[in-house]
Amino acid sequence: MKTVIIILFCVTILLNIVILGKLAAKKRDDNNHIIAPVINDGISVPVVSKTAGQPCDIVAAITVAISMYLENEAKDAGIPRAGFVVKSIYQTKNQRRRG
Amino acid sequence: MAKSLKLINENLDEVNKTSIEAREFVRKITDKNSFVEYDAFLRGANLVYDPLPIGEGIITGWATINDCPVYIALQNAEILGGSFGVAHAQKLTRCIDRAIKQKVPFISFIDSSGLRIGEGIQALDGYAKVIAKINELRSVSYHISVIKGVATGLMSVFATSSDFLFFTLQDSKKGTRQPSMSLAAPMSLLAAAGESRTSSDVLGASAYLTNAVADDSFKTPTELKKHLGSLIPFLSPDLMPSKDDPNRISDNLNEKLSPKAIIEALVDDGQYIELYKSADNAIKTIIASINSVPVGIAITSADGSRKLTISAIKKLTRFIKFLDKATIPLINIVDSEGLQTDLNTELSGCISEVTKLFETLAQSTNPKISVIAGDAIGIAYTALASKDSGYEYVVAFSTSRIAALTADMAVNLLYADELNNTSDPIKARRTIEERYKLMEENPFVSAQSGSVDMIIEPALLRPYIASYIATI
Repeated sequence: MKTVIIILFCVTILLNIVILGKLAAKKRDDNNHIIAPVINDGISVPVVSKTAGQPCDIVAAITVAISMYLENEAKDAGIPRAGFVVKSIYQTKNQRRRG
Repeated sequence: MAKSLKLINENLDEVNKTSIEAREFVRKITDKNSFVEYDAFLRGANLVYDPLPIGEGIITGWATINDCPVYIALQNAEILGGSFGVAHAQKLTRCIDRAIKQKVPFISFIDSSGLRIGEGIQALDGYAKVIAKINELRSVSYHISVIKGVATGLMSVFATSSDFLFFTLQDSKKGTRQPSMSLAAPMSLLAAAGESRTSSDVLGASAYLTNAVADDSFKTPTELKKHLGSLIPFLSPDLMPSKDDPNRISDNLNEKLSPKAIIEALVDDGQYIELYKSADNAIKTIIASINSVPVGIAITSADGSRKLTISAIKKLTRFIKFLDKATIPLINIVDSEGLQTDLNTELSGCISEVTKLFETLAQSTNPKISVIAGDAIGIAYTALASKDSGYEYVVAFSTSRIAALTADMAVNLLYADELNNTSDPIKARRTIEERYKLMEENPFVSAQSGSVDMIIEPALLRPYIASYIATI
């Protein structure tokens, strides 16, 4: 039973990828751009691709879409991409540091 | 009181009217109304020259350039050709002494036809004194020398005992003699060079920029002032205030890496000064600030060459020594396949230059950071990125290659037998190369062993480096 559930789960994921990929392929514009599937409100990701037309574009588009989604989530939460914030020395201690 | 003022003015008039051009030059390269002359009335006791040379052919004082205090000595060719006598040496020594005491940069403007022969061995002692003194200064501060006219004999040694050596260029339309420098008498050198050669060809700025003795040349006092005004603030222990966001992300670096793009992404406001421009361009050496902290950045493969030359190694060694004295952190941007290897390089002292580089790395105490942006192969890794060479923070881009040898070289050296014994050597080579790239060159392998602290996304270079620098 457990094995069946795992297989079903994997198939579902694969189907999702294929469907999203097809969506991405459909939305490819004439300028060699890929419009990635909209997976969250307000996020539509144009991706410049040198290899447009090849199957890997679909995966690339999904990857970028997901990373942009995550980035957007992080921005909403006030977390920068690097995961840390560097304080400006100019603003914090404008003083002699060497010598 | 009125009589006293009259006496001062009469004496000052006498001094000023003999050195109009020299004083005008000082005014042009310093902040407005900041130059204060002293020892203007100092004169020697010799009886050879009658009347005694006013000002002894040298003007000394202090001023500010871009609000930074500096001491200045300007040889004045209007007085006995700026010749070097006992009192001339005394004025120069006293000025250097003050710069040593205050630990501020000393700028010398050289225009001297040589030794004042009539003052004999005492004047020669003067050379020894000023050369010793300038080297004493260099242990606590900086000597910037500018060849403004003629630098002959031991004055050329004094000029090259400097952290930065510049030439001024005269307007050729005026028909004036171009600045030149030589240890031997210029006439004899020009005679040996042939009739068609001019002193500026043989002994001028172009000659000394080609052999990297000089660092740069400037056509006008305004250009020189601008450069000094950018350089001198880096020689003080102050911060370089900038409002540029230390967390600034440069997405363009994820698309394409180039020295220009890396510099712009890394430094505050994209502003920097290039040092030692005349030396080998295989390494570009710049000073700038990151999050308001002054830094020195050495970029390999700046001109596209993949190998380090002897002159590039020399340039890097000199740069590290300068940064260490200024307690400025060094950041190497590494992309090199190692040392240029050929018989000429080997026989022209390559080993000793590499030895000097490692010696300098071991003796310097300034913070050192390495960013492996491309290749760090063989000695390029050891000298430019190894923690055991003193690099305390090493980051690499995921596309970088870090290894003892490049994949193709490694396959040739290590797997020759395997390739010879296979039916399809091309396929076998490709397979082995791929394996080598995965198991050896891969930066994640270096990160696993701790040789690299972090594999980072190129776009995040500035936040990572700014963050580390804030801890120094």
